[in-house]
Amino acid sequence: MSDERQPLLELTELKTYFESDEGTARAVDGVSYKIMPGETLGVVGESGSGKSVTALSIMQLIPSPPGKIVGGDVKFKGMSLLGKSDEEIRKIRGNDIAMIFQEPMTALNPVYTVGDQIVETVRLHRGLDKEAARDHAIDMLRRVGIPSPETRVDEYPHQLSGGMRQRVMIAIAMSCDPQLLIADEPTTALDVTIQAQILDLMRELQEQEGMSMLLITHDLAVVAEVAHHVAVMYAGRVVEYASAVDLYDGPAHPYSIGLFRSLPDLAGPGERLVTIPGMVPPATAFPPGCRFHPRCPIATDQCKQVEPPLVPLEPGGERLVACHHVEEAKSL
Amino acid sequence: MTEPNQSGEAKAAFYSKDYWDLVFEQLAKRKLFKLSMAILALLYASAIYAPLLANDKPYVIEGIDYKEYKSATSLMSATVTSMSRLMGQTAEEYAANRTELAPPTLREALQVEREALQLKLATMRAYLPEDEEAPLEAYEAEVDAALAAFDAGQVAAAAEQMDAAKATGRALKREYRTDPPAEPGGEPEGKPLQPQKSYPLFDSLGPYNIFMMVLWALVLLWPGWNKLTNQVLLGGNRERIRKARRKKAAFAVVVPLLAALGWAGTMGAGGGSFDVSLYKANLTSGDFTVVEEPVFAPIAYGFAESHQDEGFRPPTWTTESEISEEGYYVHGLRKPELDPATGTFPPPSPVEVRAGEPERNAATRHLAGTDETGRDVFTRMLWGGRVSLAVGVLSAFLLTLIGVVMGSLAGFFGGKVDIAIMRLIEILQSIPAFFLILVVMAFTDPEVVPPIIMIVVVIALVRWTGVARLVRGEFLRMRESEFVLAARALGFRSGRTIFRHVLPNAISPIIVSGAFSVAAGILTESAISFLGFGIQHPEASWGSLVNASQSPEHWWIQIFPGFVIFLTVTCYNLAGDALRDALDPKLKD
Repeated sequence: MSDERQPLLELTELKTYFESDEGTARAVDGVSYKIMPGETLGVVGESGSGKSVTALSIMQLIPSPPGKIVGGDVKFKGMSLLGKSDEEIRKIRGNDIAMIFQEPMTALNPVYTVGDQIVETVRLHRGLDKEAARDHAIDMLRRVGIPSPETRVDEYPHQLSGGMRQRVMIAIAMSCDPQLLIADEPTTALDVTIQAQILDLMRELQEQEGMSMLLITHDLAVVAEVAHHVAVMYAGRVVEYASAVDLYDGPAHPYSIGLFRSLPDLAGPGERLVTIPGMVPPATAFPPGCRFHPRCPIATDQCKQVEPPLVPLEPGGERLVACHHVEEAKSL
Repeated sequence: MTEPNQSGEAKAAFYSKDYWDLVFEQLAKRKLFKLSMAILALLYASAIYAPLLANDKPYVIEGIDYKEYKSATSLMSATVTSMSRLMGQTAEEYAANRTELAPPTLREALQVEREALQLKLATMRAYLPEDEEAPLEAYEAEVDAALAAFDAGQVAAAAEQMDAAKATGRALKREYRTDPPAEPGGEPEGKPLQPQKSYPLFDSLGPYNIFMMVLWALVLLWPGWNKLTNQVLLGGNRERIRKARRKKAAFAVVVPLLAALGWAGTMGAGGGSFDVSLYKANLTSGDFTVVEEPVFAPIAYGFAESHQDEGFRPPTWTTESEISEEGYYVHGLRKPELDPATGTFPPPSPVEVRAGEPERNAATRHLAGTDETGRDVFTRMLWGGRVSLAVGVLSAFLLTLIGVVMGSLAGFFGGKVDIAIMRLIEILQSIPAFFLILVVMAFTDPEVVPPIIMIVVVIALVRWTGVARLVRGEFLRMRESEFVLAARALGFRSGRTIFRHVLPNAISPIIVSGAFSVAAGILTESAISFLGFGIQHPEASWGSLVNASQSPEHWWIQIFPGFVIFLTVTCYNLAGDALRDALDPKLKD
């Protein structure tokens, strides 16, 4: 990945806050990452770390009130999305940036046939006539591996299995050839064999189309399968950004290390799983200093007071870590 | 797949039921639902076809109305006389002396008289043989010439011509005079007249009536023509049947619409200029001589037709209803008693049997008895159903519309919009609705706004809150659901998201609440009319019919209209219950 190329999507210090009775929830608090054309970025982290809110912020689908993007910038193909009007954003949504959701059971509208839902999208963005849109819908269903798409196109979501529905979701999202596909936990609700099929499908489609993908998951195995780069998020911030290979070779941030150590090792003898003690702090009350310090085995006084910046691990390198004690962490 | 037969079978096997297939399947399993729908269909049919079922106007009548002819001959010359009187003054004089109801200018006043003359002459011509018409036309031309002269400012010449026309008119009046036969069936005196054929009942129907009648015929015959088109036109192909649904619905609306337009073009707006009581009286007295027996509706009463001698007559199929020839009840409590003071019986009330009516003691004469002024209660129930059922449906439609709009706005946008609408709902709900309706009805002038429209509007304005809360709840539930988020992520506008993605998902509770709203609307209208604030006499609604008497002696007044109210409301509630179960989104395939 050369740096001269313009990133497709670039987040800089994005901040999305929610006003609640308990105070301001800093769900996303200074997140920066970028996605190159044709690249897949995996975003991992526990529940509540701000992964999904980041994705919704990119699409500007934050429920407002109470949510609000209070700082930072989102650049798509070098242009800021935050200053755009509703109308301009609408033209980008579904057309340039598409999104698929975690629950294929509920993300499809139960009262329309799957064909209608694809047709509606392509007619809106591509202005195709009814016949052409229907042909396109059948074609899309075939491409996502749905058998006998000519008849399936007239079926309702409740008549399809979970895996089929996720394929339909992908077909809808891909129907306008987006440049960026945001997949928010696309396989979490599926069983393992179907998960593998869906991931294969997404990787295949991505390679065919050359589109970029933002894959949000809490499943490290999923990331290992499809992502080129990985951003590890904790408490509204990115704590580590690395290529997938580097990260799997040796995570640098104590939190990443903890995540990897909590994976069951199927090859070795049965052992008790290592867990990270404690929980993600609530977004209304992040601790000062490094947000991970209450759960970190190597935390020092410095960690309690000074927030570590996200800096290159090696000078000039593209691997970024936000930790004061990278060296000590290696011994963990 | 190469053989067409095989692929056809594969398709049939793959045919999947959509939501509405499942709903209809569920509904078809419910006997109570089918029964209620059948009863409701019949009730609506009786209301829609009431003008054909119960009417004092005959379908067809052929004969000579001597009274009509006579009045035309005498009024013919009277209009010319008044025209000549009008010509005696200038426009300024006319304007100064004009009464409030008179036409604003002299010119228009003359025009009105001219048109009246034309009508009278047309009536005369209709009854006269063709070779007798020439003098009448000449007379008309004479009057026109005088009018033209007056318009041109030659007042003196016009007056002269008018005097000549008046003389012609007097001569014509004498020459064309015809008196009705001295006794029914006798020979008339004077000019022999030709019988006329007319269709008074159909003349009274407007395009709206025709629309509803044709529409309802299609609805009642639905099982037949639906099956026929499915089998014959669509070849039993379920895919094509499903796609033809909208076309069928369009057909069921367009055909009645065309029929109504055709009717408006040929028969006019309806209403008819007929004085029915005179008509039937003329028929009975022999002033109207018929060539053939007129054909009356099965129940030959008008909804406001009184039979003064038959006030509070019990249903004629009961023995207590029997009346002797002298006009006394024969059995039961109504049997007259000798007044000990005078030693006489109270004055009898002999039953007047008019043209087309069943005999005095026929069981079918008054199926549900009569009210105080001898109006047939059964007829009034048929006609009253038009009001009650229309109020039910229209108020439910209107309140659902308001409720859906308000609920959607509150639920989709939330925030301040939601707060404002919810507070409005709470305020409305804290006012006792029925008394609010009564107060509004009591202060509305029925001359300005027809009570039926007022009732519908008031019910809707007071009762929309329930639907609004329901819809708002559905929206709040769905706003968080992923498919709404997905719709927005696909770049759809708010309006499109609301109406195409959220609202169809909320349609089942809306339909169910609509069914219950119809029942509630009918009950409310009945209650208002029963208390006397709603539909005013001589118009009828089921509620106002019950109001005709509060005495248990007149049991038929309360029982029959009360029973149809009960029946309708029960059927709607049963249908609503069945719909709620069948429309449940958790239906199993």
